[in-house]
Amino acid sequence: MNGIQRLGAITLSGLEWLGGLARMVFRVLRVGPRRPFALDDIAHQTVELGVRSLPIALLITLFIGMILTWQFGWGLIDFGATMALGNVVSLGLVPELVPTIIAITVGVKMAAGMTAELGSMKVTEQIDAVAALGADPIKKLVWPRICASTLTLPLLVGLGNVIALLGGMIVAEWIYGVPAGYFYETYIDELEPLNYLAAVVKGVLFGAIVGTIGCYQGFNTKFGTEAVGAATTDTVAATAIIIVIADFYLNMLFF
Amino acid sequence: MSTEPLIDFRGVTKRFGEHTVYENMDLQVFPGETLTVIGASGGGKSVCLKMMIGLLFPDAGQVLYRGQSVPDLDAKGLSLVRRKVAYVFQGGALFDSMSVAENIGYALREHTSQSEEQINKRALECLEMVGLSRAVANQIPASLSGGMKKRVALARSIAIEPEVILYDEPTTGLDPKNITRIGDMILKLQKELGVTSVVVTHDMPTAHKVSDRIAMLYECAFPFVGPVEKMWNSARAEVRDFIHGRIRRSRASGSFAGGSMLGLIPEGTTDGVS
Repeated sequence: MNGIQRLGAITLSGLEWLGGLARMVFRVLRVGPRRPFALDDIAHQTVELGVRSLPIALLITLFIGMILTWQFGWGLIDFGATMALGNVVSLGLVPELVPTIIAITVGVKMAAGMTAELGSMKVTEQIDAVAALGADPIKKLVWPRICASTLTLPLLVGLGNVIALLGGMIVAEWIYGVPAGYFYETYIDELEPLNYLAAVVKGVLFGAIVGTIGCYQGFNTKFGTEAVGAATTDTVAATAIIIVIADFYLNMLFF
Repeated sequence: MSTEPLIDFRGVTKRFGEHTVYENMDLQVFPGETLTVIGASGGGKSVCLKMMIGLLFPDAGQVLYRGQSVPDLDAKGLSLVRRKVAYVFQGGALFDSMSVAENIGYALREHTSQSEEQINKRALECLEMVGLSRAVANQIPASLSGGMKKRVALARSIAIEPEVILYDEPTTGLDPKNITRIGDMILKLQKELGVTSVVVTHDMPTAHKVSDRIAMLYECAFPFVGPVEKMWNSARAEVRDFIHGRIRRSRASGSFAGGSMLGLIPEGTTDGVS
């Protein structure tokens, strides 16, 4: 196979994958928002995903807040402008770094978990068993997970932003001598409604991406346990890449 | 035996990519009977079962359940068929995240408005029917042995009182005692519940024990279908070799062929088994 053929094959398989993803989204939208809404399943998945992800989300955002404040402080100190630390850090954290980093770490973890769980169900015929017992696997397994990740990620982004702000306040006060209260005021002053909106929209969209890719990969796992590992690895790569690309286009849209 | 088939395959062709599993295949399952499908491993016996309840669809031909075309049913119609036709998966396919009782009650929660108390009561009844104690009800599937998993799967399939039970390799991987137990269970359920059964297996003693008729998958179709004794005493070399596990060297290829016998058997006469 020459280079052009290989490129063509990769392009075709990529398009086929995106087509499959779109077909699944269509099916979810068709069967999901109908009675019964599977609220118990959605609540169960939301708690599972949210609670399991809370420690890692808090830890990462705390350090992201501290690191970004440290780095900006290092740059601003030369200009004697450390008092503007809150203004600068807030624009980097709230609409951009916190949603994206949470999606790439916690979100990718969620997607990989979904693929591993559903992939294992696929290879042990549990998904077929759901269908054989007269239930719709999309409604029973995919719909609750996509809803849960779409709900959970923006909540984690909101909480993560609070923790990142705290991390920034700690470093601003202790390292650069900027009073924490002043850092907080300048941080909040700098933010416009659009920044908050961007954070929420990114959280929701990244959550939907996470759930969709995680479930799609799980449902399309081939045969055997090795396939579960391969599908999970592919999920990690695909979810991270699509989140970053989506983030770029969302930034174009918002700013 | 009724002359109207409950499940009817008409000219079914099924392919996976380049690989043809069925070519113009016909098969009928009649109410109240136990039909056993035998054939080489990987030949597509489970595919046949999965087409019966619309888990797989044929590329050509018709699969009819009580005269209705299964592939043409909408989601609701398919759900109704699956309520009537239970599938016992090869590995059990029990839901890992649920207890044994929750597994057994799954279809009842899905299709009926019974209370949790009623569902649990039914789950316990079904456990007793398959010879398991009530103590198993709260265990998770991972803690059960292979034989117990198959019996729980059986209990799950009968919970909603189906009219057909499809058994996919019910005795594979079990010790002789459990093989006997599962065979007895199939007979008992048929006697007590009056269900129609389709059993896919290559375990010949079980096939002989539970079947009214046997269908042998050979070269993408079922050319040999007949009452169990007729099949057992068949003069056809293809049937005889499979049933008695004989391996012969292929004259054409010089290779051994035991299971599939492809390329082994020259065209012969029928022995009255249609």
